[in-house]
Amino acid sequence: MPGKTPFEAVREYRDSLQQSLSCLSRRILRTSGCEPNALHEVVLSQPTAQLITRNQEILHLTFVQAFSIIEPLWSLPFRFKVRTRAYWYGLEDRHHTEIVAFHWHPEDTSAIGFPHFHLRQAAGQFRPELGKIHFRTDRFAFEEFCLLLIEEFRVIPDRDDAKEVLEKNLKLFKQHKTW
Amino acid sequence: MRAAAVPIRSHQNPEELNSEPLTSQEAWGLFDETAQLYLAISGREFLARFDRGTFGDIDSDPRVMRVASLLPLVRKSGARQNPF
Repeated sequence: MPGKTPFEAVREYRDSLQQSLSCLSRRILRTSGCEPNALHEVVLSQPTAQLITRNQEILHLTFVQAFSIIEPLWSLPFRFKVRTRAYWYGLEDRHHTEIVAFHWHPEDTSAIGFPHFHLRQAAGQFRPELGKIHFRTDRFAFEEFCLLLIEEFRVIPDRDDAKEVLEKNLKLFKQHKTW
Repeated sequence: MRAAAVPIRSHQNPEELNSEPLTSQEAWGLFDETAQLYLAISGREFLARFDRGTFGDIDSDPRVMRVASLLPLVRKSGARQNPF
């Protein structure tokens, strides 16, 4: 999301994610800063956001994105742009045991540089090696994760236009992404 | 199982939007709360153990990964430094 100032670029980026999050939860997103040439994060204001399924099961959403501000020459006069550096999206059961997770963290100490999916302990009984596999995925947008939760995990949306909002924001994300 | 006729939506109260970046105190508060929730240790204890390498492969333990993902909040490093 481009902006005329670093603050504006971060606000646009955060607001778009906040609108997507509002489809599932009233939790708010906070950022850690907007100075260029630094690594920042956008996070939930508390460790998780509680969700409820159509079977009245309580689940928890986890969300972190790392980003930095760049100044691509081609975007003048909107000089500043947010570049995603990593993401961690997860779904936990009511005891905060992870069920599934979508990660991309190419700059950490692990050798896993590609976007991937984890099947975790709370998903149920399965062969133990499955829990250790980094299943390679395409880059996974937060909006795609929200749609997965609504459509497959039967999470109750927190607004009536959730699918429309998520699909609109997903389209915007695809317009701005560079890979 | 039959779904409830009137599904209960999120029962969280709306929080006030805040465009201001987290203060250092707020960032540490969130980091500490997350370490307590997943590992029952303080944020500072997590950092000390992380720096000693006692967690091993963080990607294999989702509870450790959850806390480690928030390291940039409390390690305000430049883009050239790797906070992980």
